[in-house]
Amino acid sequence: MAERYGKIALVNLKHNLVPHLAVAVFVCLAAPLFMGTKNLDMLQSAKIIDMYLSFLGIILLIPVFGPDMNKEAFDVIRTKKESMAVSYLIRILESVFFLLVFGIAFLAYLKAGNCSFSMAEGMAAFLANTCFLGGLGLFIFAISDHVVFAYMIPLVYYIANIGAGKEYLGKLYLFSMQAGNVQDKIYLLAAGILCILFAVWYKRK
Amino acid sequence: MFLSLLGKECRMWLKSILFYAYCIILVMFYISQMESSVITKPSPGKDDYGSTYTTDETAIMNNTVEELIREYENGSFATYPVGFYKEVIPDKQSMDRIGSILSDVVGMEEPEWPVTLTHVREGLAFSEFKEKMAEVAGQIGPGSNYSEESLQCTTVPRTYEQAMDEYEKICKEDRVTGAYARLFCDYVGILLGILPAFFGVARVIRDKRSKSSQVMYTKPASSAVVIAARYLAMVIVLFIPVLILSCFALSQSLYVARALNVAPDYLAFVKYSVIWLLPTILFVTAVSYFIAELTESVLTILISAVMWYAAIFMGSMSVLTFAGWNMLPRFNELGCTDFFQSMYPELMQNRLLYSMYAIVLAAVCVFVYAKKRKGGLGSGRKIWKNRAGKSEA
Repeated sequence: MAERYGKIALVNLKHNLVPHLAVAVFVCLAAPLFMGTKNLDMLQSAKIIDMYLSFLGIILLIPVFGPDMNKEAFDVIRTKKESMAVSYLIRILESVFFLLVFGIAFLAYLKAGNCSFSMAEGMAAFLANTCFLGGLGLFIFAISDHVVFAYMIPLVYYIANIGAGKEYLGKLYLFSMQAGNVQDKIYLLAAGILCILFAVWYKRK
Repeated sequence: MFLSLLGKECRMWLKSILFYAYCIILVMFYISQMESSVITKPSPGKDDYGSTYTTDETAIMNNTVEELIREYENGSFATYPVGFYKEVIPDKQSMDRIGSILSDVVGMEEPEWPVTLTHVREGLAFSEFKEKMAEVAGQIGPGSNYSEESLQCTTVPRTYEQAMDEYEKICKEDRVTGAYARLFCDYVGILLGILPAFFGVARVIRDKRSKSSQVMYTKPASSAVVIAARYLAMVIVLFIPVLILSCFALSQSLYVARALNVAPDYLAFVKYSVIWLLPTILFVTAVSYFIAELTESVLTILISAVMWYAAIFMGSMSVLTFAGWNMLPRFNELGCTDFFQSMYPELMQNRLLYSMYAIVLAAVCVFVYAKKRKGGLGSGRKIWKNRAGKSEA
């Protein structure tokens, strides 16, 4: 069974995830070119985690349903022994694994540059934001079956956070770490996980 | 043929979920962003009349040199290349050069100048000062406090006389509606820097998923007609909601104009929208459509997002009234008519340039489409697959 699951993950990596991983690598490697990554205070570090690294959720989670866009490929996948839900969950776990790798690597790089922030809080904020934005995209993808729409809504939500702020978005405000509030990230994480689970449940048929 | 295709494309978009999402987002953004601030006649005797951008060259030079001395003495310079703080510590050669420029500007050698010095040497011409600061900005890198746009945005406290003068210009030259129209364009422009990109990508993905491109390739319409009709349809369905929304914004500003007894300019919002926002729609749609046609990939959205991000955050920490060569000119001020008038030629150049870019990109898109249409070079009909070799057949 583990071998079959491994194969699903490998096929997903090879045929679906590679270009998105390349974009994620580029996003991380390009960061030091146009932003400070050394000796940042708490606020400056939080700004990078909240406003920059959050994009990785959109880049890595939304492609989970990507293979379904090709109807022939979708029909082939459906004939396999594993249920669609299992396939989706394996792909999601794979994306989350890469999110963790990128998150830990980037935050460790910031820490090595003597930036002042708590690694645990940074990871919590990173995971919450990426899961929420990516989960929102997956949710929209599942109910609309429209990949462009799936990218549009999380990106617009991100813009709304810049423009409207906490006043309008309450507990689901993306940039709360910059205001020193990491507790509210639990709501983002919970909403993100709910969106992901709903998307899998909806798309499993 | 062209009009028939254009009509079909417009009808297709009007049935699309993307179009309705676009309209809803536009309205919600407008409601949440447009300030309810009202232009009022300043009354004398107040302590505070806010701040204003200054064109006083002495004030600009003194403020700038004060900041430069402080940062030079610290040995580090704050920059915001794309909105994020970046500390720049120049190497010795750059620091020496900045030091010598500073000596020249204040008219003293380094050990002599006091850290609290707040003025430049007598007789220093503003043009020469700007040249020197451009060199300093070049040594530090993008997003510093010494770039031309930062110098333009030096603010000073506003006096009652200045407040009255500004009020009169808003009434006489902007006729109130013009001031609100600029703010409308500033806010809506932020969204139009990204939303049209989704349409360009969706158009290509739609063809790809339905495999209708193979059918389209066999139709008698030329590639230029097909692309022009599709492109124009996207621009039309994107721009019309903006015009409708501007009518709501206009009605609010008409109310203020009437309260101030000013004859409003009913066409102000339409004029500003056409000059300011239409080129943004043209350009963003053309870029996304071109890249999507070339790559047939949703990753085009991420490229468009990067462009938007760079445009919106570049130097955003200090500058919200700037055109330059930025894809998204900003003017986040209600009023400041003088300042806008001085910026107007730059804005026009900027908008013309982006309109021209859009036309060029649309033309290149026709070329890409025609190349794919000819087929025979590869089954996938992606441009690089075409280049990879001869057809398997």
